[in-house]
Amino acid sequence: MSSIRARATLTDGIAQVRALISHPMEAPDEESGQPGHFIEEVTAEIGGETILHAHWGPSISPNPLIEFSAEAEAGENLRISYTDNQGETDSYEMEIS
Amino acid sequence: MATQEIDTQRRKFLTGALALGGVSTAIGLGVLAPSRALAKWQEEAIMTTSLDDGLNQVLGSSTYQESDQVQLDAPEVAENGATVPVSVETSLPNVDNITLYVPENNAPISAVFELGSRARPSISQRIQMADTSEVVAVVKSNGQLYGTSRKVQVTVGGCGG
Amino acid sequence: MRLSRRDFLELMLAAGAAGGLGHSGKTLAGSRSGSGEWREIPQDFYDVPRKGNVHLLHFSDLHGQLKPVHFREPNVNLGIHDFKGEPPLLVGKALLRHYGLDRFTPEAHAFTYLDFREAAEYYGRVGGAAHLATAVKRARAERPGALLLDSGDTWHGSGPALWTEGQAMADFQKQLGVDACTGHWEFIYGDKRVQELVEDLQGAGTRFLAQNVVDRDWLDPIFDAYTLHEQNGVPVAVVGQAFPFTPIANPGYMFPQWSMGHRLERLQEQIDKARSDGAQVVVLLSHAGMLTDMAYARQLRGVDAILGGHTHDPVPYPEKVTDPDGEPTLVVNSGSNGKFLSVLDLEVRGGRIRDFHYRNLPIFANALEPEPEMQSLVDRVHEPYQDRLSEVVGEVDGVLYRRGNFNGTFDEILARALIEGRDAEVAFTPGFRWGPTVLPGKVTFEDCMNQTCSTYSETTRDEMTGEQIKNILEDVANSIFNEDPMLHRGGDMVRTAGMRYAIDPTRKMGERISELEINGEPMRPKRKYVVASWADVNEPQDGPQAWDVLADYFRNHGAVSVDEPYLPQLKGVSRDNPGLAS
Repeated sequence: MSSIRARATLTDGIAQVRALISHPMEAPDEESGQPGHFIEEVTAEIGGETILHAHWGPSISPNPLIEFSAEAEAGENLRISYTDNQGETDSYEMEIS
Repeated sequence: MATQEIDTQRRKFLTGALALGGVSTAIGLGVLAPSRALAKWQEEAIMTTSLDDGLNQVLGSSTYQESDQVQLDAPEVAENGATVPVSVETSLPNVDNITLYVPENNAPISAVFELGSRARPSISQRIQMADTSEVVAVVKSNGQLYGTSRKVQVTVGGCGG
Repeated sequence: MRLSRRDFLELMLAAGAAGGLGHSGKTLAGSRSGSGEWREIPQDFYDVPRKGNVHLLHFSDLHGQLKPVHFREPNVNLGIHDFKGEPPLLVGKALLRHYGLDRFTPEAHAFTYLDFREAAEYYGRVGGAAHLATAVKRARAERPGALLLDSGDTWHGSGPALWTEGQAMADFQKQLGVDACTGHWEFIYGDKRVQELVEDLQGAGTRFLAQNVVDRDWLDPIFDAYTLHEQNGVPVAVVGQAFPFTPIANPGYMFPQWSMGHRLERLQEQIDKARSDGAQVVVLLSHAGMLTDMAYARQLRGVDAILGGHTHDPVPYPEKVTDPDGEPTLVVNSGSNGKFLSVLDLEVRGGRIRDFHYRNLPIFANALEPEPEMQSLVDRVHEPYQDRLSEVVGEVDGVLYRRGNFNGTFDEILARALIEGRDAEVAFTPGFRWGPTVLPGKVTFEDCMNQTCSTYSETTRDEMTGEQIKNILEDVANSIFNEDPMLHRGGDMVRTAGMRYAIDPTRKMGERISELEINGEPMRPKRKYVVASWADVNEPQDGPQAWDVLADYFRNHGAVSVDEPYLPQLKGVSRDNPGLAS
């Protein structure tokens, strides 16, 4: 199962997208030298076109939630993906309706 | 009466804010060892403890024009400093960047959003706040920077009712 | 906008209840002549003739008190900035003067602290589920179809309420026939238990309404926002507003997925939706606190009345607040502990409210026969715990009360008990507004439970720096005395032992507290102090329960002398503030 869950509602040609990512978003720790574990970049595409690049640091909340909106048509594909500082990635796709 | 133990197992006391302070001091101390190459501006800007440096790298300037066409929505009192919902929306045209920052956080820049042409300039995001602070949203419209701020109180809580 | 004194006196005349207007005839209670100056409770005290065609009965903040109690209203309930001298921030004689009430009357005892001990002995206990039920029955007999509404803080506050995880109180609500309620301390039983009890209530026709509780991730509503009822052909909507700051003021980890807040935009949508569903009258059932309710009334369109609780500020008469459309909204607060039943009659013609009639009826247990079915519920609920609750733990020579902005005699003892019981240098005890008053004499374990019971009453013992101690004082003061009532989180100032300070409520965050001394020495910001407290909202604790620490203090000391409670030095507030009496 994807670590990303999303909802999209289409109203008058605008898709409102709310996405929740299960991720610890751990800050780096000075004392132990641990690099932390947090998402650095989130990308959202609709119909293959990039809508949003989000650059995050560790001050984004654990299990981050992001909401954005874009022009869209019913039937278009929404893809959300992320990469974290340990190189882990995940993605989620759904059809906008 | 016998001397009692201090409740040392407690990570937090009445003060969520104080506990969160620990998180924020861990941020942005240059110990980060990213496992992959990042765009230099991004890594440095997001991790920097200097707000001006970060803003200069992301937006090319650390100043913006106050605008009532930028709407920033955030709770006046945070339910939980670790997850503060913040929303930015603007009626300004041709917006390709929205940047959120919290001056009182150790790593003040919370997030930078680069918007594609189909995106509406409207973003919501949950952020962490170490302490009561302004939250600032800056948008880049036609290459110019406009912004607004709102104060969010991070409180020790309790004592209600 | 305030009701004119003339309107008020007319109303009191009509109700036959104005303390200042003389009263002849038979009386219900108060047979002891005492000093001869107390006015007896008139026999027609509870005769409230029906007016109009829409009828609302309301109570709030019962805090688990199913048996009659004493409850002393505060002598310090400050209004500062714009709210100086404004209802509900009036105490004692200033309150009587404002509402045209006389001293030494049933109303004076109900609404003020004046002559508390003598009045309490003369008029007897107040509230009690069975006595409240009788008052409700009478009001309903006159008003078929009247709605009975409860603003919350019902499930919590007594041993039986806690030990049945709220079931005793839900049973009370069902038995009383509450039509709708909302919540605050209800949430301390955790999300799962709240859902169970809400379902249980729903099955009996009692609706739990809270438009401002949503899933924190998806913003989906958790509870119904409003209900529609019809009374005499008039559609009436009741919209629920839970205490907006519950996740901050109480342990949010007990309902981690629920977010609250004012959510006024959604609230307005619900009001508009109810109107488009045909509602001619919209009532907001609120647990935001009276000053905040008045701020709501200034911002929301289409609300006819706000029936509120939370701040335990009973008012004899509604405040009339002008909304953004220039229309009036009536704001009512029905006090706490079962001490009051509000009766609001509205005359609705042609879809508009033409007139209203209001009584905030004090519930004097000696003047109302207990309703038998409710009495048996009360007995049944207490029976399993009676032995434990009735243990006499000590004795006191003065009145034990809690309410007041800065301290009360009960909290003074609780703070001392924390220092002693947890071997600390200083103590904090939260400025809760619940907890009935105890007259001089025996103190029982039940009295200790009533002051301290919750699902997170474990005591704590920590080291804190002087700076952290000051920050806590500043933070709490910034809630109570904030110039913006939308930021008031309720409660009173945190109570302390082992420290002294000065406070200027009129100043800003970080600037109100000064001259902080700990055990006679000026506070040192970096020094660590051992601090005892209880009711941590951040995470579960495992220290001794506050009720045991308090009961042990009485058990160890036997006879406890009740002194004047410690009050911080007050700055920036003039002695003539109508929310201040000594």
